[in-house]
Amino acid sequence: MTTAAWICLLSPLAAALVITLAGTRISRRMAGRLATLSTFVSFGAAVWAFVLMLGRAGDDRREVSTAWTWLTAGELRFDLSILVDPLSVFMMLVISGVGSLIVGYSIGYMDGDDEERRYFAYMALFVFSMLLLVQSANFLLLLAGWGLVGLASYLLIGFNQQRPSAVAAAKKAFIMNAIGDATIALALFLLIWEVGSLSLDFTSGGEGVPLDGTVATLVALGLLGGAVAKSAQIPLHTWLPDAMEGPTPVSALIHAATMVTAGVYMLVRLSPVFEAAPEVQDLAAGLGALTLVVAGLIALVQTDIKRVIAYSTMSQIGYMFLGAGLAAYGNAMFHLMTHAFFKALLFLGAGIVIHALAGEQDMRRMGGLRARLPRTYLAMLVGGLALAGMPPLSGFFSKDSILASALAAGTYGQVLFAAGLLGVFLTGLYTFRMLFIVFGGKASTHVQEHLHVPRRSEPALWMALTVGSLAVLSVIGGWLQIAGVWHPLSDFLHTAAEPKVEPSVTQDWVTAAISVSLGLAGIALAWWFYGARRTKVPEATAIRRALEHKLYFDEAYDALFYRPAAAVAREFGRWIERPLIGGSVSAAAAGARGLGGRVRLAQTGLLRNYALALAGGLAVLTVVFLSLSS
Amino acid sequence: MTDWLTTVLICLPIAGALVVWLLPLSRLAAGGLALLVALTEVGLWINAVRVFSFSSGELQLEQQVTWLADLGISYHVGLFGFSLWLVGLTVVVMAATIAYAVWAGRERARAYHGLMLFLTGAIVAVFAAQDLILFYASFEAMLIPLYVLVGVWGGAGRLGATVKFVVYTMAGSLLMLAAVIVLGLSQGTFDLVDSGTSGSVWIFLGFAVAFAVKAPLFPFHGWLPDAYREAPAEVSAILSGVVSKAAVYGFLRIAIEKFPGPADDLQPVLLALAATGLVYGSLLAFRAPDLRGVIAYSSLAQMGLITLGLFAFNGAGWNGAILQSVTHGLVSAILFLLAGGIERRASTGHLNLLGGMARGRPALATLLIATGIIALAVPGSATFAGEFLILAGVFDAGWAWAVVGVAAIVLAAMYMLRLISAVLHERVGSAVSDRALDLRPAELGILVPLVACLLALSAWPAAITDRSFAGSAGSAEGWTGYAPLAENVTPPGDQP
Amino acid sequence: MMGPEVNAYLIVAAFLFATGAAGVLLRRSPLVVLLSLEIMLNGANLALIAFSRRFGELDGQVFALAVMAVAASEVVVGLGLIVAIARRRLDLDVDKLSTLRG
Repeated sequence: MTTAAWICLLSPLAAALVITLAGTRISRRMAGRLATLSTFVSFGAAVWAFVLMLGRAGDDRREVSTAWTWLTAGELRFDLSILVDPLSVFMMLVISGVGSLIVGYSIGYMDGDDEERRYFAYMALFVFSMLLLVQSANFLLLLAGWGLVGLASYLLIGFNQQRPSAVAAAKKAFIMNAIGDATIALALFLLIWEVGSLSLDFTSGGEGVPLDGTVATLVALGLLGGAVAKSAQIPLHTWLPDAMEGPTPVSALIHAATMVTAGVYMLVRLSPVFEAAPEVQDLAAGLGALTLVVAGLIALVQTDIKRVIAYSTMSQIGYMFLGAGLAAYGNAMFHLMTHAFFKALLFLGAGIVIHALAGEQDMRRMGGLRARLPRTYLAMLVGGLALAGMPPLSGFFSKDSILASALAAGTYGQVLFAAGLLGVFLTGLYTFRMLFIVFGGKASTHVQEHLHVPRRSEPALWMALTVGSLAVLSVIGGWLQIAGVWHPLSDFLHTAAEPKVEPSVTQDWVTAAISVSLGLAGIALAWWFYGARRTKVPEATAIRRALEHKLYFDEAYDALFYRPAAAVAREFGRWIERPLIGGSVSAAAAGARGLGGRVRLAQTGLLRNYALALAGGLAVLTVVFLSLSS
Repeated sequence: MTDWLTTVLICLPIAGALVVWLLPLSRLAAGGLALLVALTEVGLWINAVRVFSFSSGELQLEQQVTWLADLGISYHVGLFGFSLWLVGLTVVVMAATIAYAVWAGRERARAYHGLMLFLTGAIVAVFAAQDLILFYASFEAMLIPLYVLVGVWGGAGRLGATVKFVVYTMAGSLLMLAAVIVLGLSQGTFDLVDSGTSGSVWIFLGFAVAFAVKAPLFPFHGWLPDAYREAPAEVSAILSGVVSKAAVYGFLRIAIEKFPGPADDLQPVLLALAATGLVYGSLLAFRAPDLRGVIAYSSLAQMGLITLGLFAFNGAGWNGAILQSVTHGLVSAILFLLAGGIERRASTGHLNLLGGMARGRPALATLLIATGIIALAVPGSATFAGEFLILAGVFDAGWAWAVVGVAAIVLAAMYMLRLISAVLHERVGSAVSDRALDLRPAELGILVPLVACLLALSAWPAAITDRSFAGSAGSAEGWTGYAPLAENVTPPGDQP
Repeated sequence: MMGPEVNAYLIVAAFLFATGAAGVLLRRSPLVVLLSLEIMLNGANLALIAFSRRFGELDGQVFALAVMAVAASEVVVGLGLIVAIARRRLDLDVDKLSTLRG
């Protein structure tokens, strides 16, 4: 099993190294094919590990393999070890599976770009980093993977280096993630001194974690900080919409399917730590619910097609946080998987639209694309319905399982349940707002002038095949777990993360009924405003402006953190540094010169002065000797 | 034979310097000879690593010749595990910088290369000296070639920079001389291995101030910005990468080991100074208007971090400090050499005038980005390992220090990414022309091995941390085989 | 041999020394300064001899002879300097001769 895991992990790294070192000696398309091949190999290895794991009994499904000792300090040892258990294999399958589809799509999307090789090297690096994150067997390696995915994200968001907005967005993403890294590091320091080791051993055997009380809360808070930053939950969410500056497949892979779900993975993988600090777990669920609603509201006013989908991602991850925070781990991971399918589908479909319109992303310039891009429309419709949670598509099963768990989780859970239902309504509304604006109605002038349907060619074939596969997965993916009937996924993940809340069948059905109706209500409202009727949207200018400014988070952070830091730096420079550098040495020189000048005055050249000095000195000495001898 | 290894490591470059100065060689021959000597040094060092026994915590490759018996002064050299790594850093960086100087072409090549070789010998002597007088002499001998290198081959403001450098270091060194004499006379011997510990705060301060000026630590860093800006690029690389580590060695070998009482009493003061330098340097790096300024202030910040690790007084802190010393030395050297290359191509280092250099220069972009992200300690890199250990160690001394440290990590991300973007991304700067080429094969030949060392260390930092201070879990001395320090240490997992 | 007490000699010697010192400090002509210097030396000599006579040791008188030799040499040098200054037609005024070179 572990051999398969090593192959899965190292295959994309090998591809990244080969592409970097080969440079211009391989063609651009060859770089793309190489990267895609490596991710497919990765997926194959993950499947192989999965098959091997199924052949073993429930308790025997956990293995650790160590390559070498990475870091030591006296008694502390941190090894380069990977952990193969149901949770990590599940994540490996999702990452390499969806990853290989998206990297394949990129061959079509990035075709013709000058810097394709760099792109595919970075994508391969990213897949490797994400796999490292989910396979790590100790906290330090987890943090290493965590940081590396942040790095890959920076490199890929800033891929179009000439655009200042892209460069700025990349820096912002990296720095917010660095804040998360910092809080995780603090939690790890506490762990080292309290427990003495950073291995993830406690996640097996159910013995629990040797932590309690304040220490456990602090550790869990630090870890949660990192999770919130990586998964773009409030309050560390402002980087995600800006990250849409990167190419669309990057948004699909990193900012929908995998990297942003790392926070959810952490909540599930480290559940024993969070369970030892229940307030923090509740906080996680609460933040998820808050993000869910706020992101849904902001998505309603977005005009950029990718930003709608980005806020939708933020919202859906809120659901996952909600589920993981309420200890419904299996359901949260289920939604992670289905979300990867339909969100990647939506992004890639949007990518086809953007490509066809020569880079246009503003929805107000689109319209009437249903007739001109029928297959894309169908794919995005499937994605949209899945996102809105319509049966029998995948989103329905996964989202409702989380909502049902919320209902079953006590009063706090029921409050969050209400928030989740509001989110369902909003999801239907904004998703179909997007679909109606882009695909419905008449073609705008912009579309009539610029639309360019791609011809049949290898790039277009890659794009079509991968989108099609994702559409199929979005349909059937949910059939993996039907509440109350069969749940192989939860059973599989049970040994790695045992859920603490199980909804009853009645709750499942009630939830399903309510959420489907709310979803339909949202779709209907969207049709009312943006569909065939095109009724005027109510104004509510103040709310609209607040939402358009994303609730002023960016402005607040700028005023609270960035400006003061820059101001402090400027004042340091003026009041401390300049005097210190110039001042001290010049002061010393001036002092020496002044002293010398004053002493020089004694050299008058006048004989009588010297004689007087002699006499005076003699007198003083006489007195001293006399007083000493007496 | 192995006992002579240390002495050869010290004397070979000095002999080389004499040859270069005395013989009428051409510019190319002088440079070539210097490079040959430097590479031989590297070979000798690799041999030393081979014969070194890392599991014992004792002084090895030792040699002692008595000089003034009644005062207890002798020529006593030897290496510990951690000093071996610092010597390795020295010889590798010196070889790279001499190669760069040969490639860049310096006026009066014989004088220049002679001085570089002499500098190499002096720095190795600092790390190997086990006698206080020898240590002091090497410390001063290290400075003379630097004064000349900066003062003669430096940039436009070199005279002012040299004066400041001289005044600051002289002030510190004189204090250290007084401390050396008092310590030696009071102990009865000047030998570091034989002498015991002392409880005098004043002597400790004498040493501490000298090392604080060398590192530099806030607020003794007034000489740093000008010296780093005016010196030739490779000399800045040496100053920032290697010479600053002499202070690290001094703190560890002399200040902390010989004065455990005063060090313990003054620990909060020194931690506060180090933490201040860390934050202050990071903030100023964020605002610095030129390439060299950013790298210089980031160097100040990193030295603050390393000092933070030194004064954490536990194995995590010391191992982290040594690892970070080596990795920072490499990173800093690469960054200054790259800065030198960029300045040659654009005739300026001002960030306002640079930009868009990534276009058409993939090698430069790759190396700068790779080094930059290692410099900001991206998790997974060797610098991250060092920083993590240091902050984990200092967390035990007080959680507030670690919080300051991690805040500085975020600041480091900010200034490094600003540097990378200002040079490589966005619009092409006004000082950048199409005639500025990508990195030449010679430059790649110098920089790529350094980066490869960094990447190798990132994959296996235990190579250094497992082999710096001997003695691990089972040993009776506790955390480190460096016994005098063991009393100050609490292993993790036991809280009093 | 009795004579006046040593104190009487010392008073005279002190008087001579003080007169000489006053002359050195207060007069402007180098010739007079030299003269006053001689008076001071004589005062010191007197004290030396008086003590030598008082304690019966000969050291004081021998030392007084040495002092006379030194005084003579110093007068030679001093007068030579004064003649050289006069030959250059400079003012023989100690306050004006303050460059101390050339």
